[in-house]
Amino acid sequence: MWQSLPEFGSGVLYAILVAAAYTFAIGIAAGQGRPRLLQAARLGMFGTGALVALGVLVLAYAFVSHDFRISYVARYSDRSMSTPYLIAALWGGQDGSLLWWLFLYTVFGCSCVYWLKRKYLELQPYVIATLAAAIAFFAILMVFAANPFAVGVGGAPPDGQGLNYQLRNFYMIIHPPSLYIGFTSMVVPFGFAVAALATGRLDNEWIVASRKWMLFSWLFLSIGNALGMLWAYEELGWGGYWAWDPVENAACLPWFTASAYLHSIMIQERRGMLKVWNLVLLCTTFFLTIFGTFLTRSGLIASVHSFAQSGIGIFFVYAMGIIIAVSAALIVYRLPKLRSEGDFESVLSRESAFVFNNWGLVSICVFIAVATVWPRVSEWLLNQKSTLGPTFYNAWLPPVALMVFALMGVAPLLGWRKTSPELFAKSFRWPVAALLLAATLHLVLGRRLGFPAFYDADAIYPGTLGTVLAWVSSKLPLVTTSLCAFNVAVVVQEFARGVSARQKRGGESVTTSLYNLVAKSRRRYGGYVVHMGIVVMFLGFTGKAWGVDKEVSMSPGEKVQIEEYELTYLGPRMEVDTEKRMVIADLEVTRNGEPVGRIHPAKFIYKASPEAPSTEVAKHITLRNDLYVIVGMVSPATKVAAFQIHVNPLVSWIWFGVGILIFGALISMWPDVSLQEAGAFGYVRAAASVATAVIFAVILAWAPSMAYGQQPTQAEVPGTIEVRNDHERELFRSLNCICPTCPHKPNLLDCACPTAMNHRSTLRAELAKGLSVEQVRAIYVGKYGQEALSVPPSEGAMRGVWMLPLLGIAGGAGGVVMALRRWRRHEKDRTAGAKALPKKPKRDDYDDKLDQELRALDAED
Amino acid sequence: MAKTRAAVASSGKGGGRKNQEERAAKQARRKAAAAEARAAAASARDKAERDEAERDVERDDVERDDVERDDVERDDVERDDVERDDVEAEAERHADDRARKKGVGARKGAAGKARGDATAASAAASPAADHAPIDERITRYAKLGVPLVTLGTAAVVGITLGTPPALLVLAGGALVAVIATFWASVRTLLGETPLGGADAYALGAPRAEEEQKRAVLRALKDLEFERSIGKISEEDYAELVAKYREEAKRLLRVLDTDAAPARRQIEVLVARRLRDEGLASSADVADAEDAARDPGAAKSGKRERVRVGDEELGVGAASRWDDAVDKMAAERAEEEADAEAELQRELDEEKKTAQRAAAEPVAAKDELDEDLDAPMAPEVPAQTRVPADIAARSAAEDDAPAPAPSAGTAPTAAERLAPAASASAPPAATASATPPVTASTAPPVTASATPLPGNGGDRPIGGSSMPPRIGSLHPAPLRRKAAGGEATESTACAECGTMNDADAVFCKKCGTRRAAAARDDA
Repeated sequence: MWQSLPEFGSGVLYAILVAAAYTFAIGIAAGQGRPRLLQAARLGMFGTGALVALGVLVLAYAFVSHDFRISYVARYSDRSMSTPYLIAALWGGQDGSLLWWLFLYTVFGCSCVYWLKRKYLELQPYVIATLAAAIAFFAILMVFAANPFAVGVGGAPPDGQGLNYQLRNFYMIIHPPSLYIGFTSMVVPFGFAVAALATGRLDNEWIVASRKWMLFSWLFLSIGNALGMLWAYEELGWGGYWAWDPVENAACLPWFTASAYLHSIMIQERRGMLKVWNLVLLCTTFFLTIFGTFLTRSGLIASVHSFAQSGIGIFFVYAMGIIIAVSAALIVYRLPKLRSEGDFESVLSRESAFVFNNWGLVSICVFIAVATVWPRVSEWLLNQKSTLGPTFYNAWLPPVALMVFALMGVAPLLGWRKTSPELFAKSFRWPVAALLLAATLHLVLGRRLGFPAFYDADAIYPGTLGTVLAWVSSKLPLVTTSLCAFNVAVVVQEFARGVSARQKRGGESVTTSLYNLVAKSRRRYGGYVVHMGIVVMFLGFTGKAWGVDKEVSMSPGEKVQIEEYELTYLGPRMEVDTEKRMVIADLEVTRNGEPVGRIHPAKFIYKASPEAPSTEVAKHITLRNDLYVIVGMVSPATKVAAFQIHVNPLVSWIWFGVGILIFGALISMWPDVSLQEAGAFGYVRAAASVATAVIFAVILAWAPSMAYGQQPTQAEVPGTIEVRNDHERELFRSLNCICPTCPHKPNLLDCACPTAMNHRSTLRAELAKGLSVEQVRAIYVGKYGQEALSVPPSEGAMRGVWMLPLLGIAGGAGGVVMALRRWRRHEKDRTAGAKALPKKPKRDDYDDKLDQELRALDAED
Repeated sequence: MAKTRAAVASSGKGGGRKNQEERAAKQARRKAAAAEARAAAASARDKAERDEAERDVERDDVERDDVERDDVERDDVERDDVERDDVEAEAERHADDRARKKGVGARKGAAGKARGDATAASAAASPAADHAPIDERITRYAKLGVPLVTLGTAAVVGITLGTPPALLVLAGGALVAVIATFWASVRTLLGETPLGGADAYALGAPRAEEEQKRAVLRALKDLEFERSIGKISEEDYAELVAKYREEAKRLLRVLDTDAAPARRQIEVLVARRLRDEGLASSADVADAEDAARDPGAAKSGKRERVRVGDEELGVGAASRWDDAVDKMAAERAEEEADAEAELQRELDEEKKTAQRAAAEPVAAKDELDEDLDAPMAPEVPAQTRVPADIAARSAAEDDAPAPAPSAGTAPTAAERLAPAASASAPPAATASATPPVTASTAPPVTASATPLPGNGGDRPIGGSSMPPRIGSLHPAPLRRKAAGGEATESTACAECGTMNDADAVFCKKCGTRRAAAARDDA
């Protein structure tokens, strides 16, 4: 058998395809009202899961037994690797990671089927069929395009190429698997949506069934994106946490639609409205998970995260086409059953706020999606290469994001259906007071504290548009801090009102009331805690406006002052281990004159690839700011070292915010337990189930943490960035580095590669000749083309990059307003008709029964 | 054996079924050796008793089987299967061993009796498995056994031989799981596995109105909460509450109408049970039955379903599934009827066999003598050897002078198992009217037609769809009381001194067959 292990593995892939097809067919047949087939389909799903596990185990065996006949094994392992790395290498490349993706699909599929048992029996067949279809797709992908068991053409080499050392670190990996989990688990809510559409059971049943799964997916998308920021901040060494890389964008797109969905389903649950919209949002979210995978793996868009270009892109195109076609067809088919049961009655209602919130979130999603694919679109349609970097996104997106941020605070203050003027005033009184107070304090004390209310923002375009954008950007710190205060006041007020209401009802202490309040409305108050986390994260984002950067070269003994920090360069030293040389620069740091210790930025030069040393960032972290130091070149002769020093205010708040967000999501996900029914054991069971889910997910995320197929990033190449004056800063920010080693083309202010250093030197020389910034920029663009600009010029067809999304956003706003007006008109008609009815219906036996049911619900709560 | 039977019966009483079954299995295993010794000295009457007991156990098995089908998790069954196999294998091994030593004559008694005990014991451990074909049992084992064995083996191999072989073991386990799962799937697909009526009904999807009701109730609670925190004006609150209450009441009406037939059936069952327990009169039962008599439902023989306004409710009709459920219930009822007829045929044949045996008393007597004359203690295997005094007493009890049956024939199972009834009721009633364990009125295999104790035994209750949850699994002594009236006295066990009911066959503590019972039987 061992002679034919690759064939056996390939056979398993074929078997997975057949098994998934079988399960799909039986699932569809069971949906025709044949319970026996449902049981067969359930077993089929478990069997398919076992087959995928078999495939993973066979590949793992191939790795640990060094079966280099298998091309994938030869490319990602060698005989020197230890067993953990060999196992981890299973996910190190594209083919293996697809198998891992498939494995996660089956894990979630089997978990869902097991969880379903005898629940939602009419939906079950179609849920299983959808899950099986997703599995079948990935099986097809592997069988025909990315077979991890494919045999190398030249036979088995004596040794493999080994896993890239750069892939053997924690931060390079931890966030992609988290995103994997978020992405793959999204297939379950999608399955419920398809099942609801297929069966016509389109009331709240499928929403309730899929709610916890959706929260789980959303939570892991959040964690994945947050870890991505952390990874970028820790490892990339450019001082930031979000580079607006295409794959980062692709990862956050489903987060926006999922967030919108989690809000809009409340309207459906409460008012029976937005049924079509919710289905569209959920299908779109699942579509975006596939789209993100397509971006990462097709090679369509250059990115630091991309796998090698391969032929699997077309398969994803087919899959996306099928998802769109099936979803759209089912929704259109079921449109008659998707009519709203209620109407909006007032703009001052929570429904309206949620609709606007949805519009904001989807607008951001659309904007990012358009900007992400724009370079390819402009190349195809306009024959113009372009690149969109952080400068572009940072100028356009914050205003929209802050609008959603404001709505986040407004929505909880509004009541369902409508809010009377008195209640409106009562609800908004304290939050608005907090907003005004915060704004005043910020204006008065901000500058003194080192956090001024305004800052000087650069115009990204010449002319009015650029000026307006710059003006808006310059005011953002004040707006953000004010809205943060507003949101905090809203959350505090909501908790206070809830606690107060409970205390009025019964003699509970404040602590007991608070506990019971959260315990009995977990989704609501868990959501508020999530909001609090987002507030804290926004504060952290705002810190970017007050950041200070400095580039210096120092000899041993020299000092440099930046903000409240004083750094003394003590000198370089070198350490050597089995795989690398480490050049370490020691710096003594004082803060406000008080010593805080030493930091040690370093360069690691690996024996295997000395041409690409990695950057090791040194940080001194406080709540107020982070001192972030990178060492560039160190002269062995003179011991002069070049340093890039950043003071990044409030960055720690982002990570705190993420923690609060996760905590809030866990509160919302906490299972329903009735003490009356289950006793204390119920709580133990609930705690165990939540803990198991989290631990399981963490293990899944952790397992492949030592390997991931990414290309080296710009942070792992040598050099430093020297900026001598504001002209240089403006020029470098507006231009991209054009070189083969920087596929995603960072701007010259961020890129530390040798080519970027040469570019900067050249441009500096041009400026020294007396040329203006615009002239030098024109020379550079003339030499390298439009893609050398970090923000495409706002002229001609290139305006489309911002006009298209803005038009979409405006169109969406118009659509929302029109829809609200129409719904409002319906409601007026209905209200007029309703007034003719007797106001007080007679009380009958069913009133007693209803009261009894409500009391029972109280007891459950 | 009777002890085992009692354990079986008591274990089926509902609450704590699993624990009771485990206890019954352990008890059965502990008593297997003693039962084997008794088996060697057993007479033809014991054989008849065993047959009856097996039927009893079978009946209980079927009943509990139906109850257990409601349970998707069969882990307990699997665990019990393992124990049952142990018991069965041990008992059979001992029986065969003894039979080999004793010769042909003894084999009939010992092996048959021991197998009977083993069957009963195994049934106590896992009633459903007794009927399961071998492939189904293999599948069941695979569900729990394969993962455990695989993980254990992989751990051991991983520690001793290294990671690659451990991965191979895991892969092997996965492969077995694949085969077992798809085997089960295909068998289910082809209809080779049972899917009972209870299953079919359990497969009924929750009604959309129930979901809607929950949503409306939740909305009412939210409104109340929002009012308490001042988020809504009194006027809006009143208006919304009125609207939601109307909607909730409409849904409650719909659900009530839908549940009415089932509720009436339950009321009938409860009334009958109360009557049997002496807590209600026959008039109450009649009232309940009258109330439950619904011409529409009676004609169709189907579960009544009120199809109020799917359109009106704005929910999906979604009736295909319900139709399928009805169809499966009908099929199930048909199967049950077939099984009942089959059982009746078997019982008739048994009657005929008993009559033939009565016609050949001499031959039977010779065979009995041969069995009784066989040397006991020296041939008992060491590990199952029964103390000589117990064996002697057992033999003595069986040899004890007892009034012979009227015509020198072995008594029928009905006569033996309902001695009190035989004593107190007219003889003619014992075969036909003694509930519920007489041979002639042995309860049908099916769940739906299982009679409640004391209901006459010939009245199926609740139609084909009602699972046999109530009162079907009384211990034997209790049944006797129910059948024949109150127990009048208690007597001490000769072996351990425990006070037992006068009509108990075996001591409730040590399991010794009581001489009084033997005399009663005689």
